[in-house]
Amino acid sequence: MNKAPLKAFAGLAGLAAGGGLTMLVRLALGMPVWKTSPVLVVGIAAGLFAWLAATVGFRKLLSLDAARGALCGLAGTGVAIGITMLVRLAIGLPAWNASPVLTVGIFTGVVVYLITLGVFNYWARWAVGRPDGADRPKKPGWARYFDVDTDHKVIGVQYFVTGLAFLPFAVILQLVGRTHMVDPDLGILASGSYESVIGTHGIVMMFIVVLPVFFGLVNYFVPLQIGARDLAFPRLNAFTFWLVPPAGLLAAFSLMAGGFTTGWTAYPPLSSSFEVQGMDLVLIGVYLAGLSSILTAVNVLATIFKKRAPGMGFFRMPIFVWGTLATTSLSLVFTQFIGMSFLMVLLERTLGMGFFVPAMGGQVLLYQYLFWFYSHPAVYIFVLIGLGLISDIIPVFVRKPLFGYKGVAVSSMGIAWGGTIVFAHHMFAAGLPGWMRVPFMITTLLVAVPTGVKVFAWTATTWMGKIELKTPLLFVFAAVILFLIGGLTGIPQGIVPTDLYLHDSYWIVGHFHALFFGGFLLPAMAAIYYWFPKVRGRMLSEKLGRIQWFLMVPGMFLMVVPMLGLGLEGMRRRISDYEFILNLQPLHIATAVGGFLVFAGLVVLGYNLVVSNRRGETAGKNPWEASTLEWMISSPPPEHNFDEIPHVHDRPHLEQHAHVGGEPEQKSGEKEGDKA
Amino acid sequence: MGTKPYPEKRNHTLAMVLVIVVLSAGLVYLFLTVDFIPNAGARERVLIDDFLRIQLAIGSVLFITILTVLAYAVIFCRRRPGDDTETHAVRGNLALELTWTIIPLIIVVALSIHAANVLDEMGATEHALHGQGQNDTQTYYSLGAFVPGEAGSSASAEEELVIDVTAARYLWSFAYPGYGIDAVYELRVPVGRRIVLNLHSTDVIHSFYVQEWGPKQDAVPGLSPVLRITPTRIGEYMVQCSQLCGAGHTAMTAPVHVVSAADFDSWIQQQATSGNVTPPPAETHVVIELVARDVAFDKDTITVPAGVHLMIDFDNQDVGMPHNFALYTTPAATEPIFVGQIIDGPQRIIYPHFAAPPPGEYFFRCDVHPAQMTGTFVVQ
Repeated sequence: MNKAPLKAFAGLAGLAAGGGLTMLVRLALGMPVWKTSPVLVVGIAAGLFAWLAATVGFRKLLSLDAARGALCGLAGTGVAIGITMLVRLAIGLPAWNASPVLTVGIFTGVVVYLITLGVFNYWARWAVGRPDGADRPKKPGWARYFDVDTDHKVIGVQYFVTGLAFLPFAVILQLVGRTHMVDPDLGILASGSYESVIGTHGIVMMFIVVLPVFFGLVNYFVPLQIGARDLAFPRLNAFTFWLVPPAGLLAAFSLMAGGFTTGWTAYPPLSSSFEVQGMDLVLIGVYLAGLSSILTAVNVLATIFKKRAPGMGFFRMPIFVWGTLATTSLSLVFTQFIGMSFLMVLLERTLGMGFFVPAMGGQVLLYQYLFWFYSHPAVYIFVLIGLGLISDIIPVFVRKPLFGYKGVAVSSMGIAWGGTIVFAHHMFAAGLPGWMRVPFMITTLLVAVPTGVKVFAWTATTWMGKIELKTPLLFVFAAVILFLIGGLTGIPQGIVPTDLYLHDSYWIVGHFHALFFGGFLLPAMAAIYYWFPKVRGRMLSEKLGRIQWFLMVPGMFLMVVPMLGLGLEGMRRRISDYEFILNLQPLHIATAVGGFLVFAGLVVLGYNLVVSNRRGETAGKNPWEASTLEWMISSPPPEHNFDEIPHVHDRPHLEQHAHVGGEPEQKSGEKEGDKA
Repeated sequence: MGTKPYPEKRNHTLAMVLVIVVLSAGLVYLFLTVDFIPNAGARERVLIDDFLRIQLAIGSVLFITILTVLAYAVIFCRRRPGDDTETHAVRGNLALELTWTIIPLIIVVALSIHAANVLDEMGATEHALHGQGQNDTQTYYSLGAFVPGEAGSSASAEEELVIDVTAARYLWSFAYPGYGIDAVYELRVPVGRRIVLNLHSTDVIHSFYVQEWGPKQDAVPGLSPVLRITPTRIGEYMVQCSQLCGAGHTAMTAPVHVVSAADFDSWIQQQATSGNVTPPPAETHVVIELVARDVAFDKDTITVPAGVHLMIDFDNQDVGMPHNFALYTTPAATEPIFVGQIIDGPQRIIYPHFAAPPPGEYFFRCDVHPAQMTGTFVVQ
């Protein structure tokens, strides 16, 4: 039977049903029945789901944990919203008030989603004394990734793909923004919409792309690199991942709920005002993502401390693991502060509390202290894993061990913990007490020292190596240069007098984009080319990799350098029009072109992934002749990772790093020229 | 191939150092001489610009060094085809690693000390917060914060011109308490004299910023931060709000006129005779404050000029009671002009701005209490 007409019919029926339902709900709430975004978005989502159901089979679709959880979660949200409105009517309040009704509805919906998804099943069964069901048969193929699964390799892929799935959404948002800025008079975005677009871009990129992509790599490869069979708490790991999809959807759907015109930093009093309608969804979404981050940190730290292979002392771990150690140590203790500050804003919005309202005894700046106490360490959370990747990939492709390994390892912790006492440099113009600015300037500049140690070590490793310019190394070199630009442009920001001019200008935007490109995106690209053979057993196309590089890297420079220039010219950030102030259009055209080039590179990557997944050249155990432990097992790895846990003798990047079986070697290889 | 690296190390090191020196010298020269941040119009801006040049010059030396070494390695240190051996495994070099830790440390400390001195010169380490006992005997801190002492420049309190700046969405207003001028909507200052801007905000965080003057300072509700500027160039500039404050943030600007001392004095005289109130410039925003308490508005008539944008600063002081402000054409309330969101008290909200309707008489009310809370809205 030809299913195509049935699928098309299902899709259209879903579109009509979803759109119609949205219009009915809007009618019931007294809003204008038609508004393009919400009606179309709900309609298209429903249509897609119906089409998927017809393609995959309704029964099979509903057997997926994720589908079941999502549907029940949505239903739960609707029911909770209804009940809240009835309760409000009963006690004499108007039925609808966006903030409290939506907040109660969403929290309830998320709890229902988690329960019906099944993440609590293992613990529930264990609590009542039944077998926990961890050994139930897994679904074959792609379906397994939509179920609750405790294997760190599956969870790693789930995180990674979720992050990659939100990346085009966030990038396209900003492409719309950049296009608008090429000629604001065209009115591509209305005033107020531009700010929502860039704010959503920021939140989604940071919490729904960077964290999941990196935690995906961490989940998959940290156990392999330290010789463990899984993370310390596999069931917790499964629960932790499934917090991320609702977080992402909430952040994305905030656009539909009216957006938020505060920028990702969400400063009150603006973020507490009802003018900013979509704020609640973002606050709750980030809260969930933050929770996921903390729980991952617990798990990964326990794993690194307790599950290393015999002989793997701390100074024999790959720098990727050191970067993870530094990242998760920050994540564990600082994420609470953004959760708290966002929760306080949410309470201001829903219950009218006054933490940040001077008339009620609050202080406006309190939010900024709490928020930045996390959000500064957060930027190190965002890049330390990438820097670890750079430190591990260079030695493989220059056939030379990392120069000054111990210094680089310690510098990861130095950057992380040095970075905990610098946060008020985001507030130099905010109204700090007069004495506070210089101490924070000093601590900020001091973090440059361990950062420099890394950059110098990478350079010394490369010098006099035997370089093979494979795609991973190409991306890593580009990362080093962009990261260096980012770091150096941070110095004028860390220094108070110059920051008072550059603050809230495009210089800042150029600075952190250079750091995100060099510390996250480019190392992530390198990691994809480096580790795809291990995960899928096939090589990615080198030729397509080079095409991607030649699109993305010039595009990144074309974005970053003009932004720095705009900042020097004094252009404010987060504004939707500049033509009435200065003629800056050429620089904006350049950033827009750069952005499109980066996006084109991502499209090439997507094509490469799809094509090589099917037809890529078969990869053996160790196509790059690297020495870290993940290359000692088959590609893809078996479910239990290692047949026999290896013994570790020396630093990574050395041939004698580890071996399997036989007697562990006693000497740790004091070689000629060995120092530090 | 043995353990010897391929390229002849000594020659390449020399050549590389030469390239680094030449390129760095070029960039440093450019950064120190080219005026790449144009239109400096205040003493503070010049201090910032000069220091920025130095920072960028230092940064460019480092950048060129790393870039050159990496580029050199990529060109000359390639693995020869067919060579499967590893390199000479150099693990590290303590002397080199200590050097590249200590030298940046020294540079960073030197930059900090200089920065603290620049801050002193800008007068920016004087009390930034009200209520810290600042007044006539101001303490100037050298080294930024730790050692009380004499600052680089010290304008005495009498020479400074104090201006109160109030930011409200989306309008800047300026008052000159020393001259009894209450509210003007354009900033006019004499050249060469140090001005002290006391910043206030009535709603959300804004930020005072004039590009030609240099530093920014946020205006924060509940605080009174201070910004000191000495304009050095006569001309027309613009205050731009520099902290995202809502949908009207982009356009929240005000004209700045830096004039000669004589022109400033004559303007002061003019203000005195015309009664200290200049009307807001056309096409600007007017904020109307409205309070709801005990199920009643505090005004039963509101009058606004025609042709402006209106923002209602609505303060609902009734605990647990919902109110709103809604404007209709007639008391029958069939044709809405503007309907504000209903808020539960106690709460204060500034409604998004809307254009004043054509001149005439209109009707406003609270939609929750349409019988008790009503009033007349007149546009002249």
